[in-house]
Amino acid sequence: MRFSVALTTLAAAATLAAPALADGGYYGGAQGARAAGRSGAFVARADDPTAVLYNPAGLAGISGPMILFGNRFSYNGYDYKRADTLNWGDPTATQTMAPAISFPQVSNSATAQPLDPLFVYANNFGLPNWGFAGGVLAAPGTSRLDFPVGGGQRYMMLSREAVFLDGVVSAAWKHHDTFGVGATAMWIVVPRLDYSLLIDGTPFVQTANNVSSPLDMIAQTKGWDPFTFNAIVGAWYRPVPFLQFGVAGQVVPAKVKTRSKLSVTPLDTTMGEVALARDGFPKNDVNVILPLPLMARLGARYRHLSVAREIFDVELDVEYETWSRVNEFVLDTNNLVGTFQGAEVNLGRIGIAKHWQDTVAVKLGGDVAVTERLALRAGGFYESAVAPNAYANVDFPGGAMVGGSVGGSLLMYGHFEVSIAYQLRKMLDINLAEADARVYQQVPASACTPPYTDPNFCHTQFLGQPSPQINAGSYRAISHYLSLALLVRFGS
Amino acid sequence: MSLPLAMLLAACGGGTKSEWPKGNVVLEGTNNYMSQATLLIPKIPTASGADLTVCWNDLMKDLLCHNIEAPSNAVDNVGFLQIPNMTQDQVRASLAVGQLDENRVKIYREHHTAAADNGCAKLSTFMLGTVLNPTTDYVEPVAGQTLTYMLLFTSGTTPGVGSKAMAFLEPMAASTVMDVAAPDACSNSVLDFHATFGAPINIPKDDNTKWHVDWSQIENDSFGNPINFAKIDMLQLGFYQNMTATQLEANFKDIEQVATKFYEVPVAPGARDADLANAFEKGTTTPFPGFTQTDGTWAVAVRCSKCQIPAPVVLSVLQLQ
Repeated sequence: MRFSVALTTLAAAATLAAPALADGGYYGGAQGARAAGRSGAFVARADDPTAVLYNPAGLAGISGPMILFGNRFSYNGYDYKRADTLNWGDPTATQTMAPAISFPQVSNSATAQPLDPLFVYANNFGLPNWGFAGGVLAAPGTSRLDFPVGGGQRYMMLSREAVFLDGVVSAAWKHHDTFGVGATAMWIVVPRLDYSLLIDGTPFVQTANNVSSPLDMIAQTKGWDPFTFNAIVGAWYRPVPFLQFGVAGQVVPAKVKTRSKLSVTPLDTTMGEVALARDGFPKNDVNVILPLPLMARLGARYRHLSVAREIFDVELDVEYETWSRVNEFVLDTNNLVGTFQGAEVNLGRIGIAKHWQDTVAVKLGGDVAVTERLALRAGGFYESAVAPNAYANVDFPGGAMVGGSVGGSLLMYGHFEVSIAYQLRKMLDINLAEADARVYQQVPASACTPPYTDPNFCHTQFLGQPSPQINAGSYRAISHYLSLALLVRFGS
Repeated sequence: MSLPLAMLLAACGGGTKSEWPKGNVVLEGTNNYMSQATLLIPKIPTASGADLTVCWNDLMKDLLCHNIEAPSNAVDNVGFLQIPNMTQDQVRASLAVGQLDENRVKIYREHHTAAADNGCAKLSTFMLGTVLNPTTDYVEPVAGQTLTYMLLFTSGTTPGVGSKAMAFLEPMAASTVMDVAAPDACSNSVLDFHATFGAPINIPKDDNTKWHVDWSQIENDSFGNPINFAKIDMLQLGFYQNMTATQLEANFKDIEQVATKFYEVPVAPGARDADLANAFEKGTTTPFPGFTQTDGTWAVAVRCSKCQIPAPVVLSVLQLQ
């Protein structure tokens, strides 16, 4: 017998994050204080060790050994208010009538993120037309989001935490000051990738518990991934001293595949446990598979020169990211079977529809050399939505983004450059009506099976869909980033 | 909650073999017994939409005709089920072979019994997240509609485990019956159960290094349902003095009660083998002394205490050599 309880989930949903320096989707904001101060408009300039990410060809311009230490502090606010709905699980509800219910706004409670570090060492080892670098850094993004178990978002997500570290090695070469090329090999390590959401374990026919269920269960995956390879290639071209072009791309169609553990715990602890097994053996290992986007960025930079000194520059970048690779988050359970109260459900391969789309970002930024020791910078950007509104979710702010930044650098004692930047990143508000919502409650034990049209098994209010949609409502997200960096140049 | 969809004879699900067999007494499918079960579930007409008073205090014997008595065999839970689009006969037939799918149930509510109940409870106290609303959840089917209502009386709150009695409820507008007494399962002959033993399995009488019993090669339980090895938790060994295998078959429902000696070996989840040399007499610390008695029948059984089926998953008579 299959009491299926649901174990679905999710986990798949899991998520986040990632590697190279894209700006939307899993990521948020720019890494490195100098680039962040220009809102990430840095692909043509790329004149510090963060070039390993923005455009490795930029490393060819370094004149000696240097070390970059940096960190980004961030505040990540994310609010959601589920749209008013009808409570079809209410005891007074029938197949045709149900009482209305409203939900309070919920917010991410893990707003402060103290770490987004980077460390890069670069050197040309005495080769005037070459540059090399190696380092470790965190992909810029919101590593943790926590929402209340009782909140209106709970069937989308309860919490997630993702830590992504990138190990990089780069090499670059230039031909005089005319053009350069470079490449970065990237080793992506995911020490932690956790995700949880609520699922409805009910197996009963004609049932819809779109607000709460007596068989609500927390489904959670916790995992890691030791190695995913990626690469960035780049080039720059300076046809005349005052004009420079840069192009860079993340070119490997990689996927993060975690080694994770799945657990399913009834919210009502008196219900007992959900046991997971494979081939009759207790097992809970699963794989969470997250596609990573390809990315291309193109930048043009105007340099205002006074003799050989650059007084200011303005750069316009356009970035294209193939987030359409993220059609779904996949939780591959390799045929785990969940057993709850004597009944079973084969979990199989669970896909959580995302239907993300490719994004285009436009970034404008520049530096002004106020004195020989002090530079100020600013920038702004617009980035198209990664997720169609219908698939809006609290796991990632998926709407269109706008923002701006300011920053500066101060050269001290000849060898030390301290940089600071503030960046604001705001998602344009999303208001999604229930009729347009397409994220469905996870009800893995449901008696309603494809094509979901049999009223003997499916709730008549939700015929033609797997379960009630649960992502309608309003979404507001904003992040504030403060980046600090110390660049130490050795030698003369 | 105990989801008694408790179906009495539900099966335990599926698993597959891996690196087994490991033992030297390897049970095959032909060694396992076969079962045939029929349920004749009493029907109780009542008022429709009424908040019935359900009583279980007069229950004396369970489906196996064993005494219902606290603490080990009392009624701890009463479940109410509404099953649409299945007739009573279909439900009965599915239950008998452990194949009633919870996906066929529309409403399930339960009442955990307590001393304060005095053996009775109102339907409106049954709950699972929300309480049962008899005016909407327990009504006479309209013309052309098929609705089956059931009460399940179980021991323990582990779902599906320990059904003691059951009844179909029939709401009728013309009825004024407001009280429901759980029908005694034994006196109503609710369960008709027959077991047929498979081929005995050979085991060396004296060489305790070869008592390693292995059931990895058996795929189905006695009802033909796939075995979920992860849920098996006990290997049992019984000696039945002065009884033949045929007599044991005839007394199958009392197979624990009629044992002269009864030994157990705990089984780790997922394991498919156990060594009888590690067995202890049930409820004691007395180790299994070996096959010292030969004036009767020895049988070995693989049990699943959390399965909805009360019968052993595997049972085979031992042929001492």
